[in-house]
Amino acid sequence: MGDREIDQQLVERAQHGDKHAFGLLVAKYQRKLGRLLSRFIRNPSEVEDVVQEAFIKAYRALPSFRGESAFYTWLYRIGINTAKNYLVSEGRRPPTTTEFDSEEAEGFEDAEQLRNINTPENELMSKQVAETVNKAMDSLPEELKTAITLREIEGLSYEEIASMMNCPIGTVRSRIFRARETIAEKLRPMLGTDKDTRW
Amino acid sequence: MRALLLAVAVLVGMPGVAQAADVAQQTDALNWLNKAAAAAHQLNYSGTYIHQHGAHIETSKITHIKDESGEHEKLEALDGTPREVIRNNEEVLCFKPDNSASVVMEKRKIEKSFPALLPRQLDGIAENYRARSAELDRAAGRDCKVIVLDPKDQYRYQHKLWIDLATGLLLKAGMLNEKNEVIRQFAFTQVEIGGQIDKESLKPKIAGKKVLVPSEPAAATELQQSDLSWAVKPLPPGFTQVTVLKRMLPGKDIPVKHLVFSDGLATVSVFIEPVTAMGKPMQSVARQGAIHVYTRTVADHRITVLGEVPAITVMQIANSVSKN
Amino acid sequence: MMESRISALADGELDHEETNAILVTARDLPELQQKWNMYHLIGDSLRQTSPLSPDFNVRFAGQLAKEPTVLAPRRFLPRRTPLIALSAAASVAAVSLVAWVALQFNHESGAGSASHIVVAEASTASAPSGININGYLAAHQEYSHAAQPPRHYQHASLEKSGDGGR
Repeated sequence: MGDREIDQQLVERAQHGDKHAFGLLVAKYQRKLGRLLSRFIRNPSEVEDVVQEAFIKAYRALPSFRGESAFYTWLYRIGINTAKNYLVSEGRRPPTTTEFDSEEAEGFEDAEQLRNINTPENELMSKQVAETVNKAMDSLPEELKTAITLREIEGLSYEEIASMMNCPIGTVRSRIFRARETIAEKLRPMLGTDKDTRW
Repeated sequence: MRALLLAVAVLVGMPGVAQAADVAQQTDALNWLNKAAAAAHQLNYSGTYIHQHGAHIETSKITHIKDESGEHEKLEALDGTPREVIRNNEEVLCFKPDNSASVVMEKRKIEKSFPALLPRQLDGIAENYRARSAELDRAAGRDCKVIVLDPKDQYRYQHKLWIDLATGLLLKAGMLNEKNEVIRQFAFTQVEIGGQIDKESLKPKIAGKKVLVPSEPAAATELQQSDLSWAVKPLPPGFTQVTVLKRMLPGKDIPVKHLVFSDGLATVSVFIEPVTAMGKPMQSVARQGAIHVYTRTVADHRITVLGEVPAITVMQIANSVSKN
Repeated sequence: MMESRISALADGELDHEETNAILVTARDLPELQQKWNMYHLIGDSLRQTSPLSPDFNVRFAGQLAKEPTVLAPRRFLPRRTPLIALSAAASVAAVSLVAWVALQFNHESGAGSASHIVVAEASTASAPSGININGYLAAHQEYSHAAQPPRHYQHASLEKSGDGGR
């Protein structure tokens, strides 16, 4: 399976009336899209408005998405266009073409350029999330930490991880699950009640 | 009448049929089904009906005459590609315009079609469905007796039939799934029953030079059970084998085995053929309106099962197929 | 193993059927949404992708609710074209992919009794692969008492060679 397949299934469900499925895609990609657009829009609260608009545009354009590209690639283009139009409508000059259209811009990990897309009010919360997650990671048993790192940071599939860690796929799945649950346990009190689906 | 007596015998012999009133009701309902089965063949009628299958709706016109030389009938497509099917007793000719202003004529096998949907033998129905009357209703502007056939288990669908009070002709027929959704229905929107109908009206109307095409090669041949190296058991309750054939299907070079099962009302076909390099045998179920189809592979053969039955029925039948 | 399902789902590591089985009932599983959100938040955090403001989701949900529900037209169904292409079709198999709904089966635990099989409808509109249904249907309709299939299934035998079908 993999990322592309789960996205494809969610897209197909959304295309046939399942709004909830689209919601899952939004939950998955909101931050990534936010980070992308914050390269072009300085004001954090404006970024969120444009992110929202981009998702709505994507939702409306769903019938025309045929799965020729990955969902995020398609979403990314819609996001860029939405940001462009926003800047133009605000009377601001959009950044140079190369910066906008470069597909690499999306994957560009500039360590020192950690775009802060938070309003001051959220900055604290955001810092706390990062700290909590890092601390929890440090406390994880080695094999759980490795498994989740390979998955989330290296983007490897379960099969690839199993191969690297020399263990069965089921073990990989279980380790990643346990790592997540351990971290989640530390995060939940910070984020609010279980009913709180804000995050 | 014999069919009716048999059906009643089945009813009475069944455990759990407690009340005499119940039996009487079922007898009455089956009586009506009998009447409707016969009326479709014995009456003169002409009308327009819709056929709804899943999301599709088609409109057709049917004209039927019964006289001393037998049954004569014409079926016309009122939407989509023009098409006429003309039948004289067992002989069926289908007329369809070709692209080049000529008309293709093809001989076809006789097919059961609305309003002649009901079988003459009712025992299967009595065994697998509970027949009852519902409130009188109207269809095509005429008062109808409504008969409901409730499935006795989840292997078949519910049927609802509107039968003309005056003549016994089936005017409307619906098939409902377990969620009470109508998955298929036929309904006359207007009909004239009885009286004289001019035989001229049964002649083909499609303009163009008529070209007779040879029908599908090799009519199906019936197989003996002993020739068949396959077994299908156990069958879901109520289903029995109707026939086994060897036949050619369009687009295939090798004959396939075609087994037909029925519960008296619903029919399921099982096709068995060797897997070719081209086919991608995949275990899966699909549905189009009222028809479910399921395929699986057994011993290098593709098994395809389809019928107007719920998904579990085609699945279970397919899973019961084994090579001897 | 069951517990880790949502985690595996988020990684796209469940097979097609299992994924569908969960997604079909997703609306009734608040836990699914919560865990899904949480796991993705954790992943993003590890990749140093900061969260958005806490009320983003609530605001967005409000916007999405106002949107008319998208229902993509069934791609494979050209209007008013018969299921069986009677003229030279590029591929009869493609035409026969019309609007078949793939079903998924959830076998609930139980002694294999048919009553425990629950059929869930998947959203994909594709036929069982490799099958041209029409020939089977035409053969079936000869025997089906109550089966008169729609006209566009009929006359499969009118498909002649040279049209790519054979």
